[in-house]
Amino acid sequence: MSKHCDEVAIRNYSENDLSEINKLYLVFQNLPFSYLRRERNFIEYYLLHPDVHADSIFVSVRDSQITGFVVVAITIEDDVKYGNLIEFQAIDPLSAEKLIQKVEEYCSKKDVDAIMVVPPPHLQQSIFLKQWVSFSPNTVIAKCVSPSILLKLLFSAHTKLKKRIKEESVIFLIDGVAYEVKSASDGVDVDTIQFTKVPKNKLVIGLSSRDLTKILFGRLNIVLAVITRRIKVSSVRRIGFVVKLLNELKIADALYVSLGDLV
Amino acid sequence: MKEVLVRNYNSGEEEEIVNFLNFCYEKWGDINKWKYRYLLYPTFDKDNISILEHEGKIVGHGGIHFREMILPNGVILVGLMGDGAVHPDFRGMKLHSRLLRHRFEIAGLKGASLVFGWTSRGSDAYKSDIRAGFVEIKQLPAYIKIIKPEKVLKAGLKDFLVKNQKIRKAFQKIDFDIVFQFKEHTFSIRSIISTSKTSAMGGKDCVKIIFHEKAVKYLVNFRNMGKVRRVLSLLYLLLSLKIKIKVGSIRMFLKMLFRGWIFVKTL
Repeated sequence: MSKHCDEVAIRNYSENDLSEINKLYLVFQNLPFSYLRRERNFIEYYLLHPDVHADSIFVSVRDSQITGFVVVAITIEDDVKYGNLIEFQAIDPLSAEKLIQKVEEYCSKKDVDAIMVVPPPHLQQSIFLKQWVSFSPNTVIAKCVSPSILLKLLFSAHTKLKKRIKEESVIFLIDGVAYEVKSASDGVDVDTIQFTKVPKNKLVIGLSSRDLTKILFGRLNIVLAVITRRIKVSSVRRIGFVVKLLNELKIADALYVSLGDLV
Repeated sequence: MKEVLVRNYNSGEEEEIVNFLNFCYEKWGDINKWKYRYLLYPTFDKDNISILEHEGKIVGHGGIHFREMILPNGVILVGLMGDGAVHPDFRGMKLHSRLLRHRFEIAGLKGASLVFGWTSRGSDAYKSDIRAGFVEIKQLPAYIKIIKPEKVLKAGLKDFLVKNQKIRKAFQKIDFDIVFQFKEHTFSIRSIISTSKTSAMGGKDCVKIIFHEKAVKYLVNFRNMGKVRRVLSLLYLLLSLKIKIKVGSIRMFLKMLFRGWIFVKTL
């Protein structure tokens, strides 16, 4: 293990590293988390942070390949000097550990009072974190502002969801506005419709946009919500179908947001 | 009734905005921070900043950035909200909600379906956002390595009091001082809430709260706990002697019991 660890070298970042750093984010694929897309322009943006300097950006290298990247911004808030790892990415725990060691050395030289990081999803269980304290710097809140756009995107991107509306359209009654989700030749259509009486042969699911947001992030017990009529279903016989469909609307268990993403 | 107009940001207003944010947040930052946060942001557009204006002056501010979010099954455009502030003279007029609604409209026009915000649980802004239809969701935890706990504790407590006016007012009402001690470091509650530097440190007319080193990991999370968890955590820390309370006299002890109950209610 120590042999592998020794193979990883840490050096300061140079401009030529950018395209290789971009590739590091491929490890995010297929993880059950939502995250903000990081393209070249955003990596460059993190480097422009007023508290980031040329000597506070490090890369880990193994066999001439970049395996990790960290951007440190030292800020002073209420007389406390924080070493914020505004962006941190590594393809394996060893590179991550080496990078953190380097950051700790750097922060110690700068007389920092506390170091903060949000490790990416695949590094949340890393050994180096055992000496750190897990905490929530703040609470993340979400709201659905455009149900029609959201439903169209979700039904278009999810194969299972698309199949469910192939035979028959579904009407979502969200905060009193009806959205009909139906299969179209080029994908999925979502139309805002008006009705005074619930159509007899249509499946109507009534819920609030607040509950829709909770469903997206797995914060609502759908079965319980249907039983207690918090979510209203027009046909009792279709409850099983509705529960499955709403479960498939879930987009992620948790959100990954680095300190640099916080605005 | 004060007439307030809601509009997007105009070029040339940068300095006025920074001054306004510094006034509302006490120490928000300088023009470089503003430029980084807005002008340099890769997707920045003028409608990313909403302004509330009264008689030509800025009385409210709200920012929103747009970014693509990768989901396990696709990509969606989302809005990230921040820097919401309303001038103290204009609070209680539902202007915070007006600023939110304006940004929701912009988000819809841009094709964003979800908006996110970051706030302290239980703070005034949090309560207002929940009323506006936001729901709390889970995010991956952050980790902190505390090198100088006494400084971090003091700053954390200050931030907690600034964002929770009820608790701050409850502390302001008490007629004795509370002194926190961590190892050889001490700081009083009066030095945190009042701007005056004169504060009672020690003596019979104060309550001393002594933190054990092991209390730190609970205290760093205190700010974002719900009410029940806060009370339970405090109880646990007291029972496990990770926090000790010392009083100078029996009179102080009785005072502390009475005022302590009021404090717990406001948590």
